[in-house]
Order: sequence, then structure tokens, then C-alpha cells
Amino acid sequence: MKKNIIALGLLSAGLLFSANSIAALNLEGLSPEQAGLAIVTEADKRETGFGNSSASMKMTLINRKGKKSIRNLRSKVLEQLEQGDKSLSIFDEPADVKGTAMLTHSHGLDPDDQWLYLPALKRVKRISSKNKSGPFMGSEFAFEDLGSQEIEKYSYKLLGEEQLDGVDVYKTERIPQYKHSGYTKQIAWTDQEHLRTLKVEYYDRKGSLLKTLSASDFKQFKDQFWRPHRMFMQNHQTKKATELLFENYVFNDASLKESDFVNNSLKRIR
Amino acid sequence: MYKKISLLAASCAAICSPAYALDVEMRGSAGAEARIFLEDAAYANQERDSASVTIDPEFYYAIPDSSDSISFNLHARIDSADEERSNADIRELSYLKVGDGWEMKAGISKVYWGVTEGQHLVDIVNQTDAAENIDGEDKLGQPMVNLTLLQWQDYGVFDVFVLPGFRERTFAGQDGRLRPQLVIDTSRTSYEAKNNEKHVDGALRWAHSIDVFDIGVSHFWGTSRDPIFQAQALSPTNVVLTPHYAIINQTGLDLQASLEGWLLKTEIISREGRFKQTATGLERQRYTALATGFEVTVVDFLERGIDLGLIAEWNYDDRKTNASSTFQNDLLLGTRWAMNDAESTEVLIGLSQDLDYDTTSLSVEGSTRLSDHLKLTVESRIFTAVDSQDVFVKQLEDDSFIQAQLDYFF
Repeated sequence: MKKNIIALGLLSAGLLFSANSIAALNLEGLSPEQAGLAIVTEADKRETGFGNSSASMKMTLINRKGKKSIRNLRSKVLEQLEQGDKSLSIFDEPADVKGTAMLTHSHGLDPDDQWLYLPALKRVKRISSKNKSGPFMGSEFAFEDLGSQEIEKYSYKLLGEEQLDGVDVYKTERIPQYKHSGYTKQIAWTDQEHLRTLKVEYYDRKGSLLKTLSASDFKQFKDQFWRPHRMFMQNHQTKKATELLFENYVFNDASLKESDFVNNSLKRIR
Repeated sequence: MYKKISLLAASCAAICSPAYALDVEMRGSAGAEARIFLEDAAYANQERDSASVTIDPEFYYAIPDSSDSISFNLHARIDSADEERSNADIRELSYLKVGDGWEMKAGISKVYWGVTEGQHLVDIVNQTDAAENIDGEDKLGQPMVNLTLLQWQDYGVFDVFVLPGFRERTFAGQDGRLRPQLVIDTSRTSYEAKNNEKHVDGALRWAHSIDVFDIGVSHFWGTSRDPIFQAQALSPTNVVLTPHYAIINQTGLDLQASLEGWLLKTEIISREGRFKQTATGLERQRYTALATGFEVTVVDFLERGIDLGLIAEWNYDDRKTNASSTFQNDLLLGTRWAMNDAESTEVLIGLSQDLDYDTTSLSVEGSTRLSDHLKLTVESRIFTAVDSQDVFVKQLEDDSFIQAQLDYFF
């Protein structure tokens, strides 16, 4: 599925990238929709080939009064070329949820498959993946914000080119095409040189601005993959916020196997 | 003196340093529980309320340069009222070997099978720790060798279990609440197996996820985890119930279809063995039991990010009112509230209606995090209407309770 869409994207974007994939995108002559798709297609292409990656995350929930509560988790992602990626989240803190793990097989526009492991009962539970708009661990990040970002999940429209904090960026509108999204649209700012998403505004079902995500402290891995080390999500309606700090990015870990991403393995994942 | 010290140093180098080098991960919880009963105890010797302390340490050691590991979990409780509830149990002490396409676990462990919420028909490997809680969720550690075959994953996962050493079910003792009128005397347990609790049981399971379906088929052969009870007069005034464990064959099926917001769940077992009580003794019997229903989730309920789950499950046993289970024909309606707040507050309310008898019971379970390490759990079970024909529940009629548990996680 993903492959087809990428192929389509490449067709519509023409042969623009064949000469030098790192060169700035030439969007001349494209409609705003074609240009939006060309940008995300190129970004996806630059992301291809990471194999697997893992990172530690420290999530700080900040309520209206500034009170903080901390979650620590680790995430592992296995790249899939034919379909959506497979991902594992393993919870370390707070201590009462330690050992809880969640496995997601994402399927683009089709519903994801999701399993939760409850260590106290040693129970692997298939859970409903309808809840894309629900908060992840009580944070301001929804499941859909953290899920695998397949190209076909949105329709795109380039709104313009501008500067964000002195960086040349593309401003693109993304409209979710999957079911049960909590958003009517997203506005994303992507830097023109590396196609990294620096900022996203999320608009709720009524069309009002709900949240703003800012990503920063990017580092490049394996001379190819850019990753943020800080993400900050501000909810404008509840005034709550969540900070996400990333550490220990590892790419292409040979000890991570396909068999670690099946539901039966949740019982032994640490 | 010097020699002594160097000897000490040498022995320490031999013993202490590897221990020091072992990267053992420790976690767990310690808690306190108070159980308040709403009515006076019905039977002699029972204390009214109870308080207890628990500790559940867990140790995990990852064997270097492999995926292998050793796990150890202990559960211990000291209860003010019931000495049968004061116990320690090794929930886990096992070695896990992870091969290429297979896994082998040896030692004491716990496995969970099944999908339904109200009762766990298919889940048979581990014995229920019924003294701990009558909800059937607490299990005793089971000695096992478990081989898991993962190499034919396109056709599912195959599990083989050899289960040496039977664990008897625990029950509330004579001082405890939530027990039948006659005390269950576990010192007089009898078995169908000639070698009693040393009988080696076996089990096989195949499980697979195909599209929206999760399916499991299992077979168990060995000593039943569910006892039958025989009344025994120790003296004209002292009659006790003695548990008897038959040898059974049980085939189980568990199936879940996950259709976006809807989870459709079914568990069926067919069990055969010499456990039918007649005037002339025990006879062979085969019966079928079923639990089936759904859970539907309403997301962002009241536009406050709440996940509201609605659960309905029907439990049936084809022995009808002769069944040894209280779930012979019962409807369970439940609602689960996940508040999705920073404290992970959750509430589960269940209403159980017996469709043969006019018995209704209500259960409420709620939990919230008080700090990063402290969690409060409140649980209540209320027997609101009890039919006098319903002999099992009738004996618990006065045992409606509320309990609060405070756990410190480390």
C-alpha cells in the first residue's frame, strides 16, 4: 500500500529528486496539492532505510498550575517497506506501570492492530485502535500524534514558503484521511533544507486551534536521519502542556529482530 | 590475622565481585489493605474486619550477550484475621532461554490465556489464589517447562507445557470472611491421581492473530484446578468441606474480533472427568461452559478525553443449576471509565445478574495514583439480592465489603 502511494508520489513529483536527493526541492509548476505531496514524499524517501530505531523518552506532563508529573518510556520501531511500521513502547515510570508494553502494527488508512501487555496479570490484550484521538498516557500527545506517519494518512496542500526563527520553511496543510481523527486539519512547518518538521498546529473537530507542537534540538544519525531531542506540545484550550525529551537514539540495532514485534513476544520484552 | 583478611578478601573476590557485577534489576511494591464488611459475620469464629500488609518484590537478571533471563517474583501477605490469607508464594522463579524461532521457560511461572473479563474459563495452567481475592484474578506460581515455537509464525504460535507439581487452591480459613458456612479443610484434600499432587499435567496451545481475529485453541490433561467439595464429619458437631481434585481433559477455545470500537469476545471449554457427585459416588461427566460478549469503547466521552467502555458478557454452563460454578447462567454488565488524567484514574463497575436465581451482585474497582510511587485501589463487592435457592452465593450473603489498598511501588 505504502509502496504504491510512494510510487504515485514520485510520478507526480516527476524526476525532480533523481539528480541529487539533498538538493532543494524544485516545486515549480506544481499545484499546491502536488507540491505538498512532493515535499512529504521526498521527506519520506530520506527517512527510508533506517531498518530499526530505538530511543528513550522522558515525558513531563505539566498541568495548568505548573505541576509536573514524569513518565519514562522506551520506544522501538521496525521499518516496514510494504506496509506501516511496527512499533513497541515499553513503560519504565511511574513505577506502578513499569513493564507495561504496547505493540502497534500500523496499516496506514486501515485500522492499526494494537496489543497491550499487563505485567501483573501476564495478560496480552488486543485493544481497540479506534482511539486515535485519545491522550497517550494522560499527556497532551494523542495516539495519532505519535503513530507511524505514513504518506497516505493525509492529504496535503502547500500554503507557502516563509521563515520560522530564521529558517526557510514550507508551510503545509495536512488533512487526516484516516477515520476517527480528532483533527480537522494540521498546519506543518518543514525546513526546506532537511525537510524536518519543526512545528505543527492541530485544529480540533470544530476547526479551532487546539495544540501547537514544537520540535527542536535536532541531530543527524547515520549521516541521514534527523531526529529531534525535544518536542513540546502546548494545548491552548486546557493550558496543559507536555514536554518530550529523547535520548539514546540507536539505529539499525542488530539485536532487534522481527520476532520482537509480535504479540507473543510482549511477555518477555524488557 | 593478615592471612585471615587476605582469605576474606579472596573469598570476597570470589563471591562478592560476581554478585556485585550482576546487573540485577529490582522492582516491586509494598502495600497495606483494609477490608471493612458491611454486616456482622454470619459464622462462628469469623472476625468482622481485617487489615493486612503485602510485599511483592521482583528481580530480573538479563544474562549477558544473550536474550536469556532469570526472573523471580515473590508475593507475601500477613493478614490480621485469617491465617489462610497470611502466606507467601513464589509467583515466578524461572529461566527463559530465547532461541532462533523458539523459547523455553523452566521453573515456576504464570501464563494467561483468554479474552473475556467476567470469568476466565480457558485460563487453566495456574491455580487460583482464592484466599487472596474471590475475583479469580490472583494466581499461584506453577512449576512448568514451557516450549514456545515461533518459527511457523504465519501459521501461529505453538506452546507445549509440562506441568509437574500441582498447586492446591487457597481458601479463606475459619477466621476469614468470604467463605462457605462449613470451613474448607485443605489438610484433608484428596486426589483422583494415585500420586496425588505429584501428578504431572500437560497442556498444548495454538494461538494466532489473523486480521481482526485473535484465536487460541488449547487442550489440558491432568489434575483439575477446580475442586469439588465433600462434606466430612470430623465429629458430630464438626463438619468440614474437603476438596477433591479429579483428573480431567479440557479443550478450550478463545476468540476475539477487534472491530474498531467493538471487541467481540468468546471463550468456550469442554471438560470431561470423574467429578459428577451422585448418591453412589463420583461419576464421569462431560460439560460445556461458555462466556461470550462484547466491550465497546466510546472515546472522548463528555469531550473530556475519557474512554468509556461498556461491557456485556453472558456466562453459561450446560449442567445448569447443577454446575459447580456460580456462572451457570449469568449476565454481567460492566462499565469501565479511563479518565486519561495524569493520575491514570480508572473505575470499573460491574453488575452481575443470575438468570436462574434472583441473585444480583455489584462490584466496583477504582484506582488512582497519589504520587509517582503511591497508588490507591478501592474495591467493593455488594451482594444486593440473594436468592435463598442459590446455595453458593447464599452463604456469602452477609459478606458485602469495601476494601482500600495503598501500594508503594519501588
